[in-house]
Amino acid sequence: MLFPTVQFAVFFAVVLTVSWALVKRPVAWKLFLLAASYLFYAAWDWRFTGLLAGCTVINQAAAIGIHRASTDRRRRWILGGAIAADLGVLAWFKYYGFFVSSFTNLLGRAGLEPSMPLFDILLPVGISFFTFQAMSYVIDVFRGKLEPAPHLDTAVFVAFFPQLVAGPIVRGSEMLPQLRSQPDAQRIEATRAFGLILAGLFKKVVIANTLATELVDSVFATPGAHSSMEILFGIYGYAVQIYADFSAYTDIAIGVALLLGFRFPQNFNAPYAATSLRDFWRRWHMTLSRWLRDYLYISLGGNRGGKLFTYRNLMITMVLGGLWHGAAWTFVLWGALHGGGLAIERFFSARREPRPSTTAGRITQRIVTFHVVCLGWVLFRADSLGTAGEVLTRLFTAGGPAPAVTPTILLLIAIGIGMQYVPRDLGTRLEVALGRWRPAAVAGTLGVSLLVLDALGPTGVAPFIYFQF
Amino acid sequence: MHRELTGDQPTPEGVPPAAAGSVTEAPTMPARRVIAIVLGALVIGALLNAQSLLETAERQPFGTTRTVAMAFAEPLARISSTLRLDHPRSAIDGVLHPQPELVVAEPEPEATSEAPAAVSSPTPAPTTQPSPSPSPTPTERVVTAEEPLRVYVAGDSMVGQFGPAMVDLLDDTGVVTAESRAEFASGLTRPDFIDWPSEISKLAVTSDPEVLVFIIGGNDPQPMKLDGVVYEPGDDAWVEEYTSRVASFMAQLDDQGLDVYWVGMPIARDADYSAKMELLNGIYATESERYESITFVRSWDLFAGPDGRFSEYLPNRNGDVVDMRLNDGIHLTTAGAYRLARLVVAEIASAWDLPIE
Repeated sequence: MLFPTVQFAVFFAVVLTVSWALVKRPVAWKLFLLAASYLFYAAWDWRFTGLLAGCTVINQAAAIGIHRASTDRRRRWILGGAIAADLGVLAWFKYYGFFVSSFTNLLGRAGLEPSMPLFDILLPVGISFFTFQAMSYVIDVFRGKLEPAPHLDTAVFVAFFPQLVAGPIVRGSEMLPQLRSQPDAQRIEATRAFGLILAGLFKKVVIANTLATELVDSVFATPGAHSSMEILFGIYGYAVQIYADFSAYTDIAIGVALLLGFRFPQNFNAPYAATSLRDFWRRWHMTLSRWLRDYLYISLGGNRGGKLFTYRNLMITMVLGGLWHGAAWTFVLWGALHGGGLAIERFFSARREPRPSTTAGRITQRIVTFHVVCLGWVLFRADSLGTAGEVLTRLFTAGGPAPAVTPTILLLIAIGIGMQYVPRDLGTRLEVALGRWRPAAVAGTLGVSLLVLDALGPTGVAPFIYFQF
Repeated sequence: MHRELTGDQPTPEGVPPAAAGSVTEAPTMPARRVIAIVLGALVIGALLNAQSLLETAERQPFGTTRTVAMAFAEPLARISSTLRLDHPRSAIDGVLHPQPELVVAEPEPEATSEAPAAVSSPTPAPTTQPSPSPSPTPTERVVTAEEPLRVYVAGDSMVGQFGPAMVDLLDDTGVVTAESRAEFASGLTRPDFIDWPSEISKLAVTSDPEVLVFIIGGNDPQPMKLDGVVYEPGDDAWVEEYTSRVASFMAQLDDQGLDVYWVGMPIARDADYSAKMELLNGIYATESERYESITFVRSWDLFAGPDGRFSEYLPNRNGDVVDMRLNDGIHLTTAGAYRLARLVVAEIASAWDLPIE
């Protein structure tokens, strides 16, 4: 069930109404949220609801086992088992084909002909998100930051439909307390939610879908048919598209959760206004960044060793982070680019005294950072290293006119970049203003916005990019 | 990321950052009002978009979902039109998507889809329009850079990947101008949505192609409604009707003087779906045999493994094993699209004597 569809609108209208009607009866309320979440997931592919349930049961059993274990050794074994199970599921569904085909090709170059079966495995939607969320729960229990939650609470936490298929990656410590003490039916941050949902729909339906169909898809499908200028704007267009698409999903998810009385963590904070790669990762997919930081980077030792040790950890974290996005060498290289970039930034910032930043200096840093990120997006979007290479080669070698770069494309790219510089308090002021309106006026405004959004977008709904990760 | 390195204040446990910054500022309201606003907004939005909703509902395959959707969408559209709430949408659409004049100039195609297509024979291009010069057969026509071969690639979402690959490979010959058009979710079962025979007949006065590459079928295993009765795919009446639509479309293509490459659907991951594709491929292959001008290009085995079954991974030209299919097990990756395109381009090249590597 995609967010910008009639199907979801009807589903959500029912869930919203019933959820608030049941909120005073916690067990019924949670059971309802659980059932709604499984229905939502089953609408993608009912066969994988068993996987979701299995993931919940294993991690809940491990959390309770860790909590009850008498020895540290036992606790470690249980944690290791749970993580192995989570990663095993992920490896089987997501990486099997990649590993086997890479291995076969490698041995093939060496003149060997290994015969490893390449099964046709269907990737379950959202698997990268719910396994990571479940892992964070078990690790938090192991680290003593969290008590095991009641079974029903854990089940809702792992499967909760707003964030189930594409994040944000919520932590147990954020969501479980909100399940334990039911939300206050008198105090819903509804205007903020409406703002997030409308902004999300606009970014997805108008900006992302239009850029994809009008320019970006074509540039990356057949770079050979495009001039340098078209390729350049195809890359800028993709940078705006992936931001608009992914932040739209999490905006809508956060807004939908807010209407149901849950507060989710922020996931994007004007990433293209970043002045360094480190800054970028504090603003882009923030819930993944902190997951990788807390559960991978710190587990590797973080910066508690020498300089080289820290660089190594940055590199491992980012390469694995790249691989999390997809099972392909392009994602590995994308991660390596960011890992290397972060290490280089760290190397120079450790050597130099920080200079007082000037406006011109900040603008330069932003432009440089944005272009390094764009270089990464070429790897991220291209379906093979060959295509990425062709895109980058033609960026500098293919002269000629650029008929595909239309005023609409330029306008959408400008809006997408300009959005990063809208002052934060503008949104808050609008929310406060909207909060003073009569309910009928708010409903009317939202209804008219739906009209405009549906009319502006291209027909047919493209799925969100992050579903495939 | 790595906030520990920068001295940023970590977020207090249990309070998400979004909430932390918003507690004092964001206005709140009670649940009853929220529900009223959400339901109100959806009703207003639905009334304003009623026509678009009705079109979406009509496009669904015949079945329970469509029946339920239509039961809501039809009265909604009537109310919307009575209250003139559909006017703003029409006005916006008129500005954003002005109807091309060509459609207005042409006689309206038969609106109802319920009559068998064999009866409503395809609309020929109006005689007042400059009629296309009868295309010479491949052997007579010498294709040069000055007089390039005009190729049109059309079909359903398979063209999304396959079309650009075709255009790219044909461009490389230096003697072809090619364009592609993908109409998502189109086929021959639902001419009320996209009427391919009519769309292709219009080409005579727009792109005027000499060669047509066509692929559909992926969306066609869905019920058809004939004289008020709904037939399930695979039923005898369904097969008969589908065959007659293919036959009448092919007769029209032959009349139009097009050199046609009708590409069959490749094997798919899902066995039931594959069986349906094999049924449709059989119809295309048999019907195309009547025409010299229509070549059926079988793509089935191109995407099967050595055991003849679906294979997501296949060796590419360099011998590397690569992923050929998208996650749905139907659509092609770029590598898969080029694999199919090379086969079709080779067919066209040998017929028209094109220079290819």
